[in-house]
Amino acid sequence: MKYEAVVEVLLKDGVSDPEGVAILDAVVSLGYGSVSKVASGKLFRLLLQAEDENSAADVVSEIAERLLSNPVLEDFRVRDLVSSNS
Amino acid sequence: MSKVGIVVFPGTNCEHDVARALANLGVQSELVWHGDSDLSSYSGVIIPGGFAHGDYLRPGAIARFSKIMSEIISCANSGVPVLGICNGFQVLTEAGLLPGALQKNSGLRFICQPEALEVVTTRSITTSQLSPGDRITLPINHFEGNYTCDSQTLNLLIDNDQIVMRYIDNPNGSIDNIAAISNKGGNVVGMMPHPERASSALLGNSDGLKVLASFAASLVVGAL
Repeated sequence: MKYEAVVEVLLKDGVSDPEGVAILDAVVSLGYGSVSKVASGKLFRLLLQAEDENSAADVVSEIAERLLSNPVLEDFRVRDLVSSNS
Repeated sequence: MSKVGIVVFPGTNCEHDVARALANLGVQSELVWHGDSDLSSYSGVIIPGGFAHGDYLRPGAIARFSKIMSEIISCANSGVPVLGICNGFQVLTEAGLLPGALQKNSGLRFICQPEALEVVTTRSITTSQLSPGDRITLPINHFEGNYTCDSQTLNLLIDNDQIVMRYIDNPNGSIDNIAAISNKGGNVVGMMPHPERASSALLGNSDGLKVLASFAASLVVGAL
C-alpha cells in the first residue's frame, strides 16, 4: 500500500527561535496586536510503501526521530497518515 | 610523519584555511571527501567549518549520515584526536560524539567578529599548549552557535572537566558561556571559534596557532 504522511517538527519551548520572533514583529507591526507568539517550524510530506498503516507510522516515526528532528532542540508529530493513490 | 585528514562535505568552505594553518606549523594534511570510508592513514581528523550539505534540515543533520562518519566515530572511540570547528562542531553533536546541540543565536543576528575566550582546561586536544585562565581571541562566524544542553548534561560537562573554552562576553546566548567542549576522554573537541582564521601574526592575530599546535602535539600517539 502507498501512504502519505505529514511530519511536523517544532522547536521545544525555550529554544531560541529568531525566525518566529522576526515574524511576530512583522505580525504586530501589521496591526495584529492580539498575537503574542509565533513559533516557526518545519513540515515534511513523505510518500512511502508499507504493508499497513501501523508499519507506515512506525517507519515515519523512526525517520522523524533519526533524521528530521534533533531531540535536544525539537519535538516532532506524525500527522495525517493516509493511504495515497498518487 | 603524522598526517591530518581534513574532512570535506559538499558545502564545506574552511578546509584550505585549516590546511594552510597546519602547514605553517609544519603539519601535513590531506583533504578527505565525505564519501570516502578510510581514515587509517591519518593520526588526527579535523571537520572544518562551512555549510555541509547546505545546512539543509539543520546544520550537521545530513552530514552526520555521510559515509565517512562511521569511520570518524570509530576513530573517536579509539582515542584518535577529532576536532570539529564551527560547522564541524555542529556535525559532532548531531553524530552524538559530543553532547548537546547548537541552536540559533539569541538575538536575530548572524555573528562574524573576533571574540575573547578563556581557556578552561588543558585536558583536551586543543589546549595542551595553553594554561587554564589564558585569554585568547578568535573569530566566530555563525548563526547557530548558541550551545545548549539539559542541566544534567551541563553538570556532567563541568564535573568531567569537558568545558574547554568559554566566551568572556557571551555573544550568542550559549549556556554557561560555552565556546568549546570535549568528550569525556578529551580527544574529541567541538569549538565554534575558528583557530585557522587567526593563524598569522602578519594578519593581526596568531592566537589560533596555540590551539592548532596543541592539536598537532596530540597527534603523537599517547600524548593525551
